[in-house]
Amino acid sequence: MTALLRRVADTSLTLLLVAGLVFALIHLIPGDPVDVMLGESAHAADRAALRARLGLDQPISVQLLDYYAALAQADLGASLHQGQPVTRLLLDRLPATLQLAGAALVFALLISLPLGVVAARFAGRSPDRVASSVALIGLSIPNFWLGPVLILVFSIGLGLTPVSGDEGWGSLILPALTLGMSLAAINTRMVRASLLEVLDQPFVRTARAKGLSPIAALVRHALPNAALPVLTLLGLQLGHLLAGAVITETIFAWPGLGSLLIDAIRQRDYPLVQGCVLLISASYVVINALTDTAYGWLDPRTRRLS
Amino acid sequence: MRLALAILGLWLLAAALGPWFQASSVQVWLPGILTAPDASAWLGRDELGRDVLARLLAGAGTALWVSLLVVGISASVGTTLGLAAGYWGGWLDRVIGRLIDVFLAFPGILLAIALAAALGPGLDNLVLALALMGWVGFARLARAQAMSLRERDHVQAAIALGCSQRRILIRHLLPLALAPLLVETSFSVAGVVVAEAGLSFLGLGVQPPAASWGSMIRDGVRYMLTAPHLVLAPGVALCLVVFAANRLGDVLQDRLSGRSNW
Repeated sequence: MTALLRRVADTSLTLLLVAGLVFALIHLIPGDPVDVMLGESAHAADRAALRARLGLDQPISVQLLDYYAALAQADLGASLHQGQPVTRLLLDRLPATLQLAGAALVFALLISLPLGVVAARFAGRSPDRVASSVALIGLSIPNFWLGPVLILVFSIGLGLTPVSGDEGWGSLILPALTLGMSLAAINTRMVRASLLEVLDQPFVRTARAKGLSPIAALVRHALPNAALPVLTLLGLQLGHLLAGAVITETIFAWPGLGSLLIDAIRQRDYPLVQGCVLLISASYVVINALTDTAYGWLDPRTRRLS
Repeated sequence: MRLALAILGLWLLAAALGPWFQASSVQVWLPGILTAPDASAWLGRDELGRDVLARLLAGAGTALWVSLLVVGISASVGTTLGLAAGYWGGWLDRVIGRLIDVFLAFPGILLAIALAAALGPGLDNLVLALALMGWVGFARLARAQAMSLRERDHVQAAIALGCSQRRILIRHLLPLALAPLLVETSFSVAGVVVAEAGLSFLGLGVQPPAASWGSMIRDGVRYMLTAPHLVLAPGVALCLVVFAANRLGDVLQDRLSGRSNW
């Protein structure tokens, strides 16, 4: 219980510091942020109004305290262009991103589990070499190139899927492939590595000695024990999916958080930029903490150590 | 391994050749808009009639410069902070450790995107943003290494003999921590090349008319139907370099892990 409390306290502190860094973003803008947002030809009155609205006329300590106080009430300010509260805009876009990340995760698992198991089962032989090379190639293809190539082949060449936008399940396929590819590659390597470690253990030899087939020993005894590192990696990578979604959503005009962020950057809508960055990184921190906690529950060995 | 080194060698060669083709990489020639590869332009011409091969070479230079600068800065800053934190411990370690945690709390390329957005587009800011993201990996690794190495007998002996702190860090800790840092360097070259291209793809990196593989892909996507070579050429170059750097990291890791307990 104390370990859990310590984890909660630690995570909260990290979240506070992350929020502080996001707050600092607006002060990293070279020169006067108001000039950057309004352009230099804006009226003095407009600039003063924006400065007051963003609180930039206050001392920095007051700004920081106000920021944290507003954050505690889930108030992220208002978008400069659309005038709506940033929180509302974020919540509108969140489901699309979660749907995309979920689909990418499912795709990555469907590819990586069989590929990783085959690679480990035939370690050092040709199936392993093929699977490992496929994984390394998958890892080396950047998503902003994979996306256009997939559109070229499947949407334009074969006419199978919509080119972009969100038009039902069909339009989810290519973005999910694009986003999930690197996760599939990383996870294949992880499944292979952790299976290889487990396959050397005495209990697998015992399972084989009592007459289980290689496949049964692998599925019933090795896989459950190899699952933990894989699970941790998936937790860590889920956050990276949210970040990778920024580029993938831009390519496919997918109406999620990522394309919201890029639009906000183009329009110099800094409150909205801050909101997007904060939400994505905060989700990442929380997912990581949950993964760590789940690890403790699933593996009794780590519980006894801590 | 040989394939990886050959690709990386080609990359260096392309970057070195780049300056000779600088002029033709920005030479607009409207009669040749979007033409397919031919004898005058081996990889065809882009939407302004510029030679794609010349732009590819210029892009190789951009990618190389950015990765040398970013990896150089991240490795030296990160290693120094990490070694110091791991070796001395105490409040220094708590501060640096917390700093590492906070930077690691930003997933993937998100921090670089946010920084590049705040700092404004351009090559200098791109390098700054990527270095601010890159030092963390080196720092975390060096810190872990220093924490385990400082208990070793030879380090304890050096302390007992009254060696200066600097000498202990540089002569007795750094050489032993170098192997994993070398692996990290290789992977981080791959990461920086992708990140540079990614940010340039989003319009946050290299600005026109300078060439980057990422901005070439972004501009080419609009003409994918009529001139697929605009997307294919920089994409293949990018994939090859990233593949080679990743492969080199893998091989180094395998070789070095066998002898990490000297």
